[in-house]
Amino acid sequence: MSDVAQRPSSAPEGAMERRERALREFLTAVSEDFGVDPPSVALVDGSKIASQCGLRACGCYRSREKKIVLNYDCLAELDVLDVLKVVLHEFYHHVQFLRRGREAFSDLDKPYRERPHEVRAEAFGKTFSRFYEDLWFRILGWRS
Amino acid sequence: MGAGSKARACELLKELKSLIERSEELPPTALFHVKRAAELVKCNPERPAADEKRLFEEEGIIVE
Repeated sequence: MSDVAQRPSSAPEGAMERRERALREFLTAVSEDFGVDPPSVALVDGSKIASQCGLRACGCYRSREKKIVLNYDCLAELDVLDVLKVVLHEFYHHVQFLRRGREAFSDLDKPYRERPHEVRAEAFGKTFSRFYEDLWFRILGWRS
Repeated sequence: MGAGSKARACELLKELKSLIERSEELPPTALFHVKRAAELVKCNPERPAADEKRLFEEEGIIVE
């Protein structure tokens, strides 16, 4: 996030960079627990999310780069534990891709809520947010 | 379609989502809350699957 001039008013100077570093540290720790290489991560402001994710969204997983992209403006407005769930949800897409490749996402014809890979990612985020809450607050403390 | 019906609520949520997506002023965060509301009401999925399939096939992107 070097584009300081483009930073939104909601993000104090350096906040995005600090949080991006913290997210990297958090995802490295979680990846170690699951025995996978960590994904790269980028926090981008809301005005740029569509160029990274193809659509306006709170986040996405770019499988070719093994990269999680998160919308800073979106996440900054969420409850801190909801942010953790979003991050873990995207992390699970990374695990799905590492384990099964493109096949993991072969259910994209189905409606979003009926796709097994999304159902599992959602369940993973909800379940493991309880276990990673302490680490999350220690490393990131989203609003602190 | 009654004023309090699920179908009406879903239709309004869909319109609201479209409005937010097209707006330059409304915060994208609002999409998260609209999505949550649609989940609670148990609406059908709001995003055309074809768009997401194309995004994955062409760019390898999984959205949300």
